[in-house]
Amino acid sequence: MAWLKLVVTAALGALLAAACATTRLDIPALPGEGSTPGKIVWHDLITDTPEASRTFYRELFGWEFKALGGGVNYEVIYHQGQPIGGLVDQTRLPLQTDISQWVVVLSVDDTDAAAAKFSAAGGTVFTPPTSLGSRGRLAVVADPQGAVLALLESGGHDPADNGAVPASGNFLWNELWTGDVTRAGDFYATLAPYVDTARDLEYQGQRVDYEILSSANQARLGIRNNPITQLPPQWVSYLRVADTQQMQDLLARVESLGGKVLVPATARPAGGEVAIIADPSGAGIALQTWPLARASADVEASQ
Amino acid sequence: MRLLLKYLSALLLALAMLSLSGCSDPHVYGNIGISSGFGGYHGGHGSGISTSISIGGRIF
Repeated sequence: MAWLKLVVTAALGALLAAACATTRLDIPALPGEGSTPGKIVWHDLITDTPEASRTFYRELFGWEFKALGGGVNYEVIYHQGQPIGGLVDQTRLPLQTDISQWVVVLSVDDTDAAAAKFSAAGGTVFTPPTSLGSRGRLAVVADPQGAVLALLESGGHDPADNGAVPASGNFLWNELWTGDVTRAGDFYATLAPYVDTARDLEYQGQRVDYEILSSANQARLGIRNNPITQLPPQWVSYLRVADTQQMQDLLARVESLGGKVLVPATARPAGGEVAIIADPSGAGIALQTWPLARASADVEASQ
Repeated sequence: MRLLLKYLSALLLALAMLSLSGCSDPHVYGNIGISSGFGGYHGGHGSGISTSISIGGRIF
């Protein structure tokens, strides 16, 4: 009888393990049908205040959050019906430190090879290349100067470049804030077939190094001097805001939703405004006005 | 002998539960281990902000 119990227990364990192996880390594929190495193809929010963060982004930008089945700690963020990012509940992670933040996900041809470049250059591989099922193969790394990001080999599901202007409340731009722009640019240029364009900018007598990395004739990301001396090097994502009126309306509601305005609306020499806010978890994100008319003209000019 | 079998059964069940606990959560972000991002930055005057913030963002 005792042997029978043992056999039943072993069989049960094997079944559970097998079931787990087939369902583990099966995150939905990205919503595209192409490969665009060098493009920021996704954004994940790690938050230690998931409920408050959901409310914050839902109220400000109309985002919706849909949990994956099976108790998986991952929710897909939708904006106007389109998947634009993910949410991870930090309280369900085995952590002692608050790491609430937005993480950009960079498309690469080969996650293993890309992660190895981070190691070789003095960066950190926090999570080695890991299969996420339909999502593809992902690694979590920090570049040699310490900025955290994820690398994804999506298996041909990168969102396509369609030239469309992102809707208000969707991601507009991604920027690396770092201490050594040239060094960072040289390093990231090894990860994808980028064309690196340096721009020597100046603001009120202060030099601002800025590099734009492009691939497939599309500007993918910016690299600039870190403008906030208290912050470590990091990636900053920008959400599109239609105009200055909407910027005012959004910023006026941030604090009542548990967030904070870190940098108020600031005029840009190139036009429009930029601001930085933090959601209730402290995760920071930038807002930038980008009117449709101007964007349309630029799209036409680039064609 | 029966005691040993009981222990083995308990061990197998514990292993099964452990495998399940890793099943539901993709802990790919659970290894970051360092505080990064804007956490701890509170903005405002004297907070290290440079006016060159206005240079950033999409430009074309």
